[in-house]
Amino acid sequence: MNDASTILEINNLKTYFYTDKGVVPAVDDISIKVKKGQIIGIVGESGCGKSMTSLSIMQLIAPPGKIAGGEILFQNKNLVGISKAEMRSLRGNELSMIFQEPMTSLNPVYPVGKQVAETLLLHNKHMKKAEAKQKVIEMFKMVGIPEPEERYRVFPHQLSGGLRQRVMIAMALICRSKLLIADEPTTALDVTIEAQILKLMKNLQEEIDTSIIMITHNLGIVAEMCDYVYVMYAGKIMEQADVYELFDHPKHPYTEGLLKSIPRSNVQQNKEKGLYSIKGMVPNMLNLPKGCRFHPRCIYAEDACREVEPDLVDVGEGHLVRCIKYKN
Amino acid sequence: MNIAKNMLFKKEIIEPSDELVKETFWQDVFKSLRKDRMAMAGGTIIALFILVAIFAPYLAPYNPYEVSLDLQFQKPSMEYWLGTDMFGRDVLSRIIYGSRISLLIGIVPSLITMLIGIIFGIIAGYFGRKTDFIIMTVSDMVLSFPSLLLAMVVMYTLGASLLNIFIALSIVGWAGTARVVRAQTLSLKNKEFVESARAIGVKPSIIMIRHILPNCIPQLLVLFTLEIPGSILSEASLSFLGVGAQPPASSWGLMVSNGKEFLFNAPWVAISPGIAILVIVLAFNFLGDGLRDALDPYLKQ
Amino acid sequence: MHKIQELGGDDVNRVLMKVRNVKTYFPVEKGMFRKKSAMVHAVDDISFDIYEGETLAIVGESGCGKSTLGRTLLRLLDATEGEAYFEDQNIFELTSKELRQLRKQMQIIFQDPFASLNPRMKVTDIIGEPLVTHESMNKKEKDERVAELMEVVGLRKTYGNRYPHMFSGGQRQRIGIARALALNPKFVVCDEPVSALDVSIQSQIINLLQKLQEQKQLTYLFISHDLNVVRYFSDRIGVMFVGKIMELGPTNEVYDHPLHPYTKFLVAAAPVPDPHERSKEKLILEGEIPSPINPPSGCRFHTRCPYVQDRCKSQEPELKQIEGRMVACHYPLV
Repeated sequence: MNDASTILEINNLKTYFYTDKGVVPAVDDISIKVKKGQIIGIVGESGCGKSMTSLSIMQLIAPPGKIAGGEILFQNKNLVGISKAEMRSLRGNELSMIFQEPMTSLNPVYPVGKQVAETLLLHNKHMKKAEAKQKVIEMFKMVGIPEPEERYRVFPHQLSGGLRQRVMIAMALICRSKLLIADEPTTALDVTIEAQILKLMKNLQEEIDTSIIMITHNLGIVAEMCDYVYVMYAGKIMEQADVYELFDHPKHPYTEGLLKSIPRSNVQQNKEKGLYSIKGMVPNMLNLPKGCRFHPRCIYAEDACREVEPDLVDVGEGHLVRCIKYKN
Repeated sequence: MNIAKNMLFKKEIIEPSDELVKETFWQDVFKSLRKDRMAMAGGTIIALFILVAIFAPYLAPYNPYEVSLDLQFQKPSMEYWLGTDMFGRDVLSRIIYGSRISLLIGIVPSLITMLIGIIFGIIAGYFGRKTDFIIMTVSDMVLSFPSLLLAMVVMYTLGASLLNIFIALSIVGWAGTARVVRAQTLSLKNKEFVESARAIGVKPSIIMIRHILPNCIPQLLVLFTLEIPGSILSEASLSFLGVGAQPPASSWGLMVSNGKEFLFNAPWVAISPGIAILVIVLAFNFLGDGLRDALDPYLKQ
Repeated sequence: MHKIQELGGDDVNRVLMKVRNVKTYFPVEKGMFRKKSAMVHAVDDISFDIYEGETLAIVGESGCGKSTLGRTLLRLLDATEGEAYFEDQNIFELTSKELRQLRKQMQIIFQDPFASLNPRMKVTDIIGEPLVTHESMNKKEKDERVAELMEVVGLRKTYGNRYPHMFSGGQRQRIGIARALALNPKFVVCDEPVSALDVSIQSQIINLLQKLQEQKQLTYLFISHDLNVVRYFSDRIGVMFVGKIMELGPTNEVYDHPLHPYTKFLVAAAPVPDPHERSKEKLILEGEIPSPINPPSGCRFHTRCPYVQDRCKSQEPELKQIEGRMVACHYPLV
């Protein structure tokens, strides 16, 4: 099952939150595979479990949340149940993550360069401080931070949002991570800055050959960046396919609805009919609908959809769909 | 595939999220408060304390003011549970009656403090600029005095009486409340719902009462529960220093003060009311901390 | 339907709002004595007209002053200079009593559906507040009107006695819209009304706004950073950069043939939800957005502009009419 080019393999991961009001299956039995050098997209709306998936990989799920089942194989090693010390040595080293708001992940009282050097020193015990500094400055140059020597000494609040995100990327990649998890990395940024950061990520991915998991709600970013896409809805994967296949031939009614409901900036649009929209709203995770989770919002729903939860079926060429309309 | 056309004019009714939180704000707060053992213990003690204060005449075994010199300094016994003081008065009965003064001293100045603090704090925060500058300068001046010293000065000037204790503690206390309310108002003032009320044309006075004040209540509640033990302690300190409640009133602070001379011969005279103060202050602090935790998600909002 | 063909002397469409040389500056307060050391030039000399029944979008990146502009036109913020006429009344000169009357005509819909509703008020009271403030209605009349409004925006009227936290983001946005429409305004500022919503809810709210515009002949000033939504929703678009309008014209023309270099790069930067588009070489604007405290000399865009010339660094271009739109550039991309 596992070949050498697979860097991360998630099998039947379940991350549940045990709240006073009941159990929330934030991530409900999902399987994901990331190959070396691949950019994977996980796309979905708020509360679909995409961020919880990334936090599960990083082993950052805090109570009342818990990984209730499944395995996360990173380079053939299961991260579920691994010791804290072992995880710490992986985090920031072979496995790193960047978040939506870089300010929250940078310490406000230390210069940014020092913080990046710290990561480097933590994972390379024999490295000298001067050498680390040199490496950080090189990395700053690589991620396009102007005047890297001066920027080494500034504090996070003195940088713009775009530069802070560049620092985060430098920090994530300085140890030449095998896998970078980017959770909405550009959502807090302006459009022109977003374009810069996306381009930078793509270039770095090609140069360092890092695999990236791109977590986003923005289908435009998915189309632009990813090779293979997973569409999540209410904790489950609804559809997964190669990016071209997914955008050209969406099979799941949810994916189809999402793609139709976004207006596009590159073509003129007819306003007479109104925008296509998916009716209703995301279900409450404490009280999921019976049968298919999407059926209350689905325009094709039949009686059978209200009864049985469909399986994820392979419709060929790595395209999997969780919908009753499709059979193996 | 058949796509529903013309979504725009289809009549749509959005089903409300029945499943979403149904509890009101206070139900939710009470629910998490009930799980906090320390807070519940505090609450229970406070409830008992209030009951004791109300039913003091029925609970006290003896008349707390009755002097009988042949019963001086009786040790705690079955007859006198907490012993008697230098005038032969029953310490337990005096503590029970003393709870009335402590409760009064705890609540009345705190209420006055709150009221003054709220009014000045909201006005300073909402109008800003000069109004803010003047109110906050005065409050800074009040806060920069050692509060006990300031209260003592007021008591010396006005003379010792219950009413004057209220006045003294209110003069000292309002500034802290005003600071908290002002800070809260400043952050609420820029919230979009306040802007929305301005956009509608709601008058400033109504915005303050309808939109800002109700959203300060969680903070005020915490502040209030923590203000009460502060007042009780201040009264105790004032009485201890002789400018608070006057004999023969049975204030706990006064009892400690009177008992201090006999601390070695008859320690119960001072220690029992001391413990009473300690317990009630702790109880209020536990409840206040519990409330703060229970309200925390709302405070952070 | 409303179609705005040309700017300026258009006889078909009545001008609802005339904005002339509006400036909104904020002092940057620093130090012990709050010395006003610098000014944020949030809105810096802006003029345009808003026609009745149209949707004029204002787009731009953070700090460009688009939200400040919207709030200045509603006098939620005080303008430093300039004039803004709403049906021949200069908004900036009204007394507070006159202003309160005018507020019935102009309303605002906010971005954040969680911050824009008072969490301590029931939905009926939130939607009913404008009615209580301006109309002498008895409780029954008010309740009827609120129920009617809830139905218009697609909310079940039996849920009027619930608090905002019991609703989802999309529903809260509907409550906000009902509140804004309670007094039948003519002009509505929509400040990023769908930015905080999920994709599937976004289109529901856009459709609702469009339906209401057609039913009630509303005029929208649609402030947004989302270039996809703006292209779909607006009739005309104004592109702002650090306090200034760079280009203003009919939406489709501006998108398809931008005349200002900034517009060109801004439109190109928006990720397109189509993987086949990625083969195209993407135009990427280098550098950072300049600070509105010390905007660059000359053309504000010159520090990032790939077509920059010497003249751009010293001389500020005026907003001029070119090919039926307004462009502030010395060397427009004709």
